Amino acid sequence: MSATTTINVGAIEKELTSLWKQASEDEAGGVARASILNLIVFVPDPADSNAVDDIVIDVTTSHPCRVISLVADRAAESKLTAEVTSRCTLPTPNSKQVCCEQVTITASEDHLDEAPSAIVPLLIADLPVYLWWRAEPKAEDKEVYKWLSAIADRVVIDSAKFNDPEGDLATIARGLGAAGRGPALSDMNWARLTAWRALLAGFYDVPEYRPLLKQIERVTIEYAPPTDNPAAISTRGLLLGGWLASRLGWKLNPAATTRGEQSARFEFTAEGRTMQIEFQHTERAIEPGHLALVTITNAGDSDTASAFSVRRSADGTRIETGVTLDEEKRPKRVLSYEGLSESALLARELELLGPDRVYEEAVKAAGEMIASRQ
Amino acid sequence: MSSTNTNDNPLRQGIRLEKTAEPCVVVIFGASGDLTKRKLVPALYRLVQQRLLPAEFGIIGVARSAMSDDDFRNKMKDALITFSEAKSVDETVWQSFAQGIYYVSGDINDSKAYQQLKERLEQIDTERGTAGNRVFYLSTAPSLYSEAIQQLGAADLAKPKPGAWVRTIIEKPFGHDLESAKELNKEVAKVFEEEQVYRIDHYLGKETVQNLLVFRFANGIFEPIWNRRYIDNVQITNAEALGVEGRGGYYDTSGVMRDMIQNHVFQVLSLVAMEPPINLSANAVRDEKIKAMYAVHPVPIAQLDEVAVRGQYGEGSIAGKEVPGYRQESGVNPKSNTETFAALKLYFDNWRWAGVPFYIRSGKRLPKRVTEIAIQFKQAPLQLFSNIPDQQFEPNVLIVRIQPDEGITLRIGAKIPGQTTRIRWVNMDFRYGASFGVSSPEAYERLLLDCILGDSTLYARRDMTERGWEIVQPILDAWASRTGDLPGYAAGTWGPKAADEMIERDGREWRRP
Repeated sequence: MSATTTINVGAIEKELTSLWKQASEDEAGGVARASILNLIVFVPDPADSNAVDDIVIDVTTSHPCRVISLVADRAAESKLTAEVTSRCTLPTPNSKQVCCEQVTITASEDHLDEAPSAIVPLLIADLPVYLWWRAEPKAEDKEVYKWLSAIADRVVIDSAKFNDPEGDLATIARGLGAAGRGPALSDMNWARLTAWRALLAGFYDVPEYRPLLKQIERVTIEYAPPTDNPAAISTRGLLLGGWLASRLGWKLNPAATTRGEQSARFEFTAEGRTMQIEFQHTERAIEPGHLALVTITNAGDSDTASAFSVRRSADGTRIETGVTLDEEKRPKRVLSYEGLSESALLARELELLGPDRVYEEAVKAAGEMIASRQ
Repeated sequence: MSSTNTNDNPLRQGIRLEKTAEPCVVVIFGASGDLTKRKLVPALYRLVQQRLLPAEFGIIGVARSAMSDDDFRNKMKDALITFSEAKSVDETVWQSFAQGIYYVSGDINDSKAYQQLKERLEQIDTERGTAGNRVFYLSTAPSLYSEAIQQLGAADLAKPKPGAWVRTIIEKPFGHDLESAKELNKEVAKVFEEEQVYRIDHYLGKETVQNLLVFRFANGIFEPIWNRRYIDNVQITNAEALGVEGRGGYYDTSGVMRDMIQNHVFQVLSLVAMEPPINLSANAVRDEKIKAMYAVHPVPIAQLDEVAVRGQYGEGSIAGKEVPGYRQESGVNPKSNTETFAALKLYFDNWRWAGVPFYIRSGKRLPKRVTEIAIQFKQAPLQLFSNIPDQQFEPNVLIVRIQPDEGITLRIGAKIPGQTTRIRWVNMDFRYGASFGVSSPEAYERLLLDCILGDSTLYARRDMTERGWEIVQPILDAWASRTGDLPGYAAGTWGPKAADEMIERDGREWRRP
């Protein structure tokens, strides 16, 4: 027997309503339906569904929303089905239950392109639409992406998961250049860099060191290469490099790019000076894709040099900052450091509405660096 | 203000990086006390871990007992472990933080101690780059504030160096009555400029203050009805289920009017009654708050009992447990007439609020812990549905809940589904806590950071502290001159009968929170 191929959207809404009725009958105090946004999730493989459901449950406790999950079941034939679930949590012991709804649409390859048309009517009026594209940018999903990103206010991706880090990051960069007024783009990998960026920026907050911003000679970024693609530079590293270059107005000199198996060097000019960003494999045992150490070397007046460094401990629980002035080391500072879970990262992205210009420029600068390697 | 503006650091641009505070040293007087180890140092530690404080940061504890820097550091470490949730701290991370902690021993009235302190501060400026910025936190017994401030002035520690700032945080209570509050303000003003002074009123978390301001002024629909034409009365309830919890000795000299009403509750009252500020700077907001409070109609002492009620809790039960009465609490005089409950009816003599009664009540050992503002609107001018048998009509009420469960509720009438036009009055609820599931930062983290950032929105200004006392002082004096026992109420009830009578005489009733 062939599976049902049409989804009756009317049926989905009715199903949701009866779920609500059920919940309020069960619950003496009545239930509160809270929604502050619409979240569309694209799941490229049914095997990921459970993980996604867990993350969604976590996130909806702090960001109650209607979740519409589109699962691509490429192995199946001629399939387009919908399932409706409601999830209730009790935020505090005395309060009413807060319930959120999830609609899961599973589509086979041949029906994937039509699936978005079933999603559009399910969106709650007025509330912002977030699209969590939990997959890499693939040519076969282009139609679906185009349709869904057109109705989204913000698209959330995770460049740490790209199998072809450099190629995919370059695709994103090109997309940003062309988009114009498309949805805002959010990258969870960028959110992971917040601590690094805050600490690096922090060096130059000190009045004594501020002038050194214009005297940076070299930035060395040590990273652990991605497992699937050891020749590639980690996306996190590229984003950090792109961030520095774009914030400080550095122009890339593509002809001067050099490439080794475990390192790469990019040259920039700004205000008549040249500076370099170097990427290197780290020798320490750190998870793939993560940054190990970032060092910024500044030229000083009269041959004095200074260096600022931010270093992550091997087990990832501490982050150290160091300042060396004229070969004299100032006391290091050690701070506790916590990696953020996927739910925590997603929750953060759901708090943002406007475009993240700093990120977009960092990606474009990273894209330029990648393009110059070819 | 300091010469560095971190806003022009291009690496700081963007929506994700928070403003980092400037380099500074926090000097805590009374560092051997509870507050330092339970709240202050842990809050500063957490601020550092969240990268909200720079590397150029130091703490100096000042107290009488002789101790070395290391002794003090170890005490702070033990305290952090005991009072933190995790019950442990990473050794290297702690060492890095502890390097910035120092200790100076000395008596509050010993000028030599202040000279030592001065030398230490210079030393830390050089070693850690703290740039001459200082916060002097007075965490001593209130009777010592005056002495400490004078000494700071005499040692020339209160005047900032060029390009640096000096601030002082003064813990509550600020004075014991109008006279002492004015005296203390005068003493402080001899040594510090008003913009250097941060008086704590931490009851109001920043979330609350900002929620109220956003609710009133970021939405276009509430301001037009926020006045006497549409509002019938406003009730502010600040209830605690707790008793005096072992602090009977202190509370007996204070009472709820001094402890809660003249400071905390009046802060809330001023936020509800104020005119829209011209911007959100601390002074613009505080200007409007004090302007509203100046309009409070003087309490008519001749008819005091019609507008002010006090009470004291007797034994009863709370949340299923039996509890003793106030006079049986330890540290409390068994014949004490200190009020643990008070209710007031106030009016504002201004165009916005003339004729609208503001009913305020605050007390201990009430049935539950709740702080809320209930704004009751006037009923519809014409009752179209009055021919429906047994139909109840209620006014619309807008309730702003400050704690627990911060949020807003609007009570409206809706038609019951079915053939008739029967109306049921329902609550539309919005809960900040539930919807955003994010725990608010600890009050002291917010307070300390705000002071270091130079934001005094959460702190009380000189004029407000004195105005609060001005309003309640005549009431306190009148009550003090009475003989005989004050009204009682059983613990676990909503206060003495006189409080109900006060509002029912006006044809209204207290909302049950």
